[in-house]
Amino acid sequence: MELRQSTHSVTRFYIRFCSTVLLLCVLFQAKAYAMQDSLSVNIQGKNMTIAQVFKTVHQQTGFIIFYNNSILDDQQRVDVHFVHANVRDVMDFVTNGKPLSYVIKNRFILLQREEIGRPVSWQTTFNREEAPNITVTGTVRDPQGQALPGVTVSLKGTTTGTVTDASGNYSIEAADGTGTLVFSFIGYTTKEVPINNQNKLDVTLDNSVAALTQVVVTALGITRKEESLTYAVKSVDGEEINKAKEVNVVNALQGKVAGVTITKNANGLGGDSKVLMRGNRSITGNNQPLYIIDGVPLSGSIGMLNTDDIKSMTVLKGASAAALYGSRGQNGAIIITTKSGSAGPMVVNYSGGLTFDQAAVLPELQYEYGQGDGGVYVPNSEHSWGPKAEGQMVTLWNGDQVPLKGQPDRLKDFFRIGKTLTNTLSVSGGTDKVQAYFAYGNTRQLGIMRNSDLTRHNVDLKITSNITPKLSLYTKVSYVYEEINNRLRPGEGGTYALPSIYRSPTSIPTNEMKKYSYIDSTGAERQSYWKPGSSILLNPYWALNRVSYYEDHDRFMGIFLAKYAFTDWLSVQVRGSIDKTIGESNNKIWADNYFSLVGSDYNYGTSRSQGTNLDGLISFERDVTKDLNLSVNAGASVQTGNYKSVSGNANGLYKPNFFFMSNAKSPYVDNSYGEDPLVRSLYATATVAYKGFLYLDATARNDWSSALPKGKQSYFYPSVGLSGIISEMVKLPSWVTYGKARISMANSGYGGTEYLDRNYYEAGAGGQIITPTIQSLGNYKPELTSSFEVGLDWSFFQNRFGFNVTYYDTRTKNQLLLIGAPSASLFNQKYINAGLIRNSGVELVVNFTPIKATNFSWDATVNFSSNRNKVVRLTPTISSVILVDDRESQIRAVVGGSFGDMYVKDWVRDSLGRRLVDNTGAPILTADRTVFLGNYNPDFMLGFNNTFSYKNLVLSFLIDYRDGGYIIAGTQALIDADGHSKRSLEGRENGLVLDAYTEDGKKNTQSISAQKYWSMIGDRYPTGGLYAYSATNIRLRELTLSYTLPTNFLNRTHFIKGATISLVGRNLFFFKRDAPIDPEITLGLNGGGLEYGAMPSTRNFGFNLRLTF
Amino acid sequence: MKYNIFLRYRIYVYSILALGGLLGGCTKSFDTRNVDPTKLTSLTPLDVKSLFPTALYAGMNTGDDNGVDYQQSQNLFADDYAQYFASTQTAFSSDRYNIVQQWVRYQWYDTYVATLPSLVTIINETTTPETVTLNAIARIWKVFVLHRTTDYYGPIPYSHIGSDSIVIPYDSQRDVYYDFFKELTEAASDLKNNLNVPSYGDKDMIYDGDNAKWLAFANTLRLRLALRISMIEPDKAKSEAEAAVADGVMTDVSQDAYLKVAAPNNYNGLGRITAWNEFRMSASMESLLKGYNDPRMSKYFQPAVATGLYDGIRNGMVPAEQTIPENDYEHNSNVSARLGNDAMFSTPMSVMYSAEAYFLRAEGALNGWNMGGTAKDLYNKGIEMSLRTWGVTDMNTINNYINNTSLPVAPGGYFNTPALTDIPVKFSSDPAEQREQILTQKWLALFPDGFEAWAEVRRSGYPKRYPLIHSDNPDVPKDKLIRRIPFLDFDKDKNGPAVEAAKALLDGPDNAATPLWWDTHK
Repeated sequence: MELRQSTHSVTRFYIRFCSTVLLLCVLFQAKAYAMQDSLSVNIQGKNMTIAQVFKTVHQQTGFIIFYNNSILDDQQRVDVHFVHANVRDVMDFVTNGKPLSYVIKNRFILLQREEIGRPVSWQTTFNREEAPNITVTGTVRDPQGQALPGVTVSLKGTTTGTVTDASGNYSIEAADGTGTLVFSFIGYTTKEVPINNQNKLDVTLDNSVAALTQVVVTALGITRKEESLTYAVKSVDGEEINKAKEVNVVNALQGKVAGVTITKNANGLGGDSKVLMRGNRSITGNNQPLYIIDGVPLSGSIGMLNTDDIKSMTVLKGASAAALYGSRGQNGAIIITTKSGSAGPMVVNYSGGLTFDQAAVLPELQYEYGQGDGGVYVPNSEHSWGPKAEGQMVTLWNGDQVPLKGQPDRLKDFFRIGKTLTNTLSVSGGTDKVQAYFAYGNTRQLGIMRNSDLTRHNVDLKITSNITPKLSLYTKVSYVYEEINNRLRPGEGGTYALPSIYRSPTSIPTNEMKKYSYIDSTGAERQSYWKPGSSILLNPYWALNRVSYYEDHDRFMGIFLAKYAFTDWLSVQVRGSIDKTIGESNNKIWADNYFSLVGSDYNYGTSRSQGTNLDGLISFERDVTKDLNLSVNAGASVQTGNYKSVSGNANGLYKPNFFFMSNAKSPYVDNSYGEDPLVRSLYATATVAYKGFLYLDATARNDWSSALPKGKQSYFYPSVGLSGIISEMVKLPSWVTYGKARISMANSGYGGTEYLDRNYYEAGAGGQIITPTIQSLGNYKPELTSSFEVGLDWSFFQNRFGFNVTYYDTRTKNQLLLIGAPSASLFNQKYINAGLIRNSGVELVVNFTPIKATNFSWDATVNFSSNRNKVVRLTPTISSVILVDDRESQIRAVVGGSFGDMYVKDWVRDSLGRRLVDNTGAPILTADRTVFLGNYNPDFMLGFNNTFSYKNLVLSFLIDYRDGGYIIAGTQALIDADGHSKRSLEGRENGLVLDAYTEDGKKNTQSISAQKYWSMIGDRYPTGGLYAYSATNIRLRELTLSYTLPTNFLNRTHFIKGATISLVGRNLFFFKRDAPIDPEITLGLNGGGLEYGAMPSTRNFGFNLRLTF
Repeated sequence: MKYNIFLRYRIYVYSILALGGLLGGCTKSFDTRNVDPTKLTSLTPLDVKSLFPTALYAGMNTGDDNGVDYQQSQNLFADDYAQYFASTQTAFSSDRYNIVQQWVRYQWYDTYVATLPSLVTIINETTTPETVTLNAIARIWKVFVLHRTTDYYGPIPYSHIGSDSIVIPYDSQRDVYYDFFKELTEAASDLKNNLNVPSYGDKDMIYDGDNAKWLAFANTLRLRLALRISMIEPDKAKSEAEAAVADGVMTDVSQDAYLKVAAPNNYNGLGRITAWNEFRMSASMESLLKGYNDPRMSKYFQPAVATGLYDGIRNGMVPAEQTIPENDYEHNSNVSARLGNDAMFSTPMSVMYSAEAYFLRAEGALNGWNMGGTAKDLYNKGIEMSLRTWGVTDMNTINNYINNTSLPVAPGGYFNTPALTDIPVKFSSDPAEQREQILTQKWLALFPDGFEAWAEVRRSGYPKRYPLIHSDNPDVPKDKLIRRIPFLDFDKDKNGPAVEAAKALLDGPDNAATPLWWDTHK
């Protein structure tokens, strides 16, 4: 069969297959839409409860049936046989012979006790002679401010009632203004509000106890009641994520989830963030979590998603939570569910935001001394060690005469106010058979760097359809297009524009720098820089304008899912997905950029990468006995992916600054191709629920990874957990609302990356053969993480106070380590299977509601987490592995230490620990980065979230606290050595007598010049120990104020159903910060604790508008 | 109804087929897919030959594509220690004897990880009579690369190269040198006996497959190594040197060894890094070249951009001194355009010159060895050969230079620098002065091979040198010469017990002041 031929043909077939099915789904649904079928119900069953019948009706038609439990006999069993029936048939059957009646409105059915002889109607006026004289309108919301559709609103003591519409709005007529309205809805506490002659009553319903039985999406897309879970999860809804309008959705989780550390990249626009859950697990591998979108693993960047499309995010932190995701889930998983349409009238939503970004933490500079060295004005100097700048006239490098004075605005002028404009328009709705959600979003971001911007378009289409009562299809297609100009490259790569402005003499006026080029005698454009040919620096404005990096990405994501329900307790589904990104880069380097070795230069490349996933799942759920419910999901999946790229490097251009590959002097082409391992898996999960208060959970998964050596490709890992709702098992005092205890143990494995089991030679340019530098591991084994966690989830006083606490311990062993090999082995590094890393920690979430009144409430949440990491074992002969070898620090994993221990160059100390100087008074420094400094990871993190609601006004803020860890401030080291920094003022006139001792134990009396001192300890290879700062910081991470426009006001517009406007601020200020930079800014995804020429972090202000039509 | 059922089942048939197929259907490809299609798992005989250029470029520290390895292995250390250049980059403390481990390890890395894997593979794969010349030339190049490395550190891993052990021991420098002589002798003999057996052909980026030239190269290298040990083991030195000369060393510029460069991958290492303006001509070069009115001045250097004058700077300045205008790169001489950035894809890299062979023989003759000529004749011939190497072919100019009696000048400048020494070019009658003249002229002729220049300054004490302005290395004061590169943290991390054991092979502590085996601390 064709399928057996080769991997490639299988992959090709699979892609073709996916596209065929996707197309089919779309066609089906288009057809289903066109037909506009009448709602049809098919139920056949014996011995069903009425509740089961209603549930099926809901599943098949989307109708929601509201009723009070007391009016139905839940023990009554019925035999039903409906084929192509409609809901009225069902309702008539159910109410037949009972004192019940029902009303259908939109997609809602209200079932009520029938008053003898009086029919129920939505507007019953039969019991009054006079016409009603008051109409009350309003909106019902949940505690998060989300509109609640389907809430039953009734006039107490009467049969008058209504149901809120899709926007949570209601309108009810009352006989007079003295009645009381009763608002009730499943999962919320029923609320009675006296009318008091008001025409407008907006109501917020509180979660009832039952609301704790929140449904969360867990591994494999299985939705489960939170109370049944044996491990800690955290769900964040889309509303919460969207509050502050982060362009990268992951950043919106900062401070909101205990145990998750999110560190923004120093790259600015479009940069990925580093997300760490419960500590670093893998020594030389990847520590980033797996992202799952609508049930399938994401292959490309998470940052490209439209945040407005996100309905909820569930964070699965532990191995137990992610055990079912296998290889890629051992660092935890973030499960993203996107919005979908629901049956009902069309709903149009618009969401827009405009945010302004301002460079927040800039280096502190001095403006008292001008350009020069040794106290003398030097127009070619890159330093500010010149004379006192007192307005004396000087001649600049370019011949202009200016007064020499400090230019305090120079740095600020370099940056602009960044702007981010986002718009999303979504349309959703559907019939009982087909529901659709369509959204178009765009993002336009202008970075604080003047040449940096991002444009992104997101299109999402999601269609859910019930082809027959048993077969449902789901299709999602997303397309993203993104263009980024001049994504920043921190450090000494790329344009070096940022370090160039940080390192410009503080007396050079901006308008002189802006004359960044001139035309020389040959007619060529040349850079106008004060020190031509500088080995590192450029005129910062030249760097902005004469180096251009461009990239764009086309991304396509498609998911299809077919689900067939054999009965209401047994179903099977098949799902396929593809996530494909095509990228292009186009980099132009003008002539006279000193860093280019070949004059003007040009690079152009294209790349494509994709991930594919196919899985099937059989789900079984039913009550085995009266008290015992069993649910089992068993499935199989296949995952793989590949990447390929071709890039050309011009190596100089014949005609300078004419950027086209045909103009390349000696083009060099690089071509790469690779595959992700093909991972096949079988897995199963089973949950046994006893009386709805005791849950036993077990999972098992076996993976076969093509990356592992032949015959050893299989690895198995199980998990088991138990949770009990104590508050339901035993009688507790009435102030205990809910109590749960849980415990779980899990293993998860990682099969490594491809091509590691043998050594390869490369055939390189010029006919050379290149030998391998990394020794392969012919018999490597999968990495295994075992974890254990226990936790308690309790709430008290009707949920006014509650906490979740979790203790965990994870151990990762058999790590696939890339370690140094003795060079004489003729390899630089080699792979081994070894090591044991332990992470243990505590996560605590405390919720409380200090104030809860009719119109005002205050809700607060505290997230606390602390992780301890220990490198227990590496190999029998190796006790230290270099993780990052940076100019500022060597970051190592040392046995007995922690992942991320930093070793730095430092001041040499005598036996009494005193700093030593030589006989000239200059510091004696260690030759290399050998002194242990500390770790870059925080000791603990605390988030404090507060929400104040007053009528339609909601104010919330988030304070984020990270304690401990070190950061080395590399930019500070540069500007100290250059004499630009404020602190380089110290000792300028009279020199510095360092507080230190000579080697023979005498107190130092020698003075050295400030320039000598700072250039010794700072500069490009700084003494890290003297530039290490505590990374502890407390900041106001987020502040939002939102106002929902009153319904009666909106009603006048006749088309706007809901409107919310909010003001947002992010990263507004620090309550505490020791480092001269934002310690959250790091270099790259793997680094930590190092800063060098990074983007300043930004302070953001903005406003968002959300409209529902 | 039928239609619906069909559709319903078609979905299933597709799904189940696809799922079943992917899960179980392609066992064979599942097992074979884990092979990188872009790389080679085995080598053909032609591939083996193609390893040679890799070894040549990496052996000259230009395997890296941006020049960093050339800079960090040679330019920041040997070139400064030899006082060919001095640093103008404030962040480079290596010019103040600071051993920046992060940089200096490039020589080690390039030797063991970038060069030797190719050479060892070639040597192991060429054991037939048809491949004898491939084998011999690979062994010659192996000695060339490793002699630079042992002359940095002293003891190095040698006899156990390629071992798979967790710890790979170091060998003493004496043992390493003795094996060098053995290897060169054998390889030269193999070449001599098989001169007509084709070798690398167009994969030989130095001699285009000319076995005779490799033979002269091998003997010249053997002569160089013989002189190196001439103070510690004079008898061994004499016998090796005389055998080398008898077997035929390089005698003419046509035998000069250059490594070809070609865009876009293979560049001239020095050329690649000159545009960065991080070093300039040293005051030592200035004193000699200016004083002798040396025709090579404009071949080696170019006038300073700011002044139009040839000027050099002192080694060991601190940033506050480096940034004073008269000491900065604008006011001092960069290398000539021939060695500059624009020529990095055209000027081949200098590996070894025939001129050196004459200076080595001249010194051997001074020692009383049979070098096939007198010290004076060989000295004069060496100068002539060096001038020819750099394109000075006019015999009058050459003879004028050889008979030149002018003395080195005092560069003066910010540090009021005096003349480096007081010897002229014209060969002296005083044997002590002769030795200084031979070694000083050899130093000039070796340019820009800082590795060899620094080694010979250590061995012979010539040419004289200026003290550093500052030393950042507490083990080596500014008026002393740095004697070696300490063992690397790079290898301590990976091969710790071996490094610890190797310290016993040193004639002193593991620091930069301890002389190597052949260094009698002149």
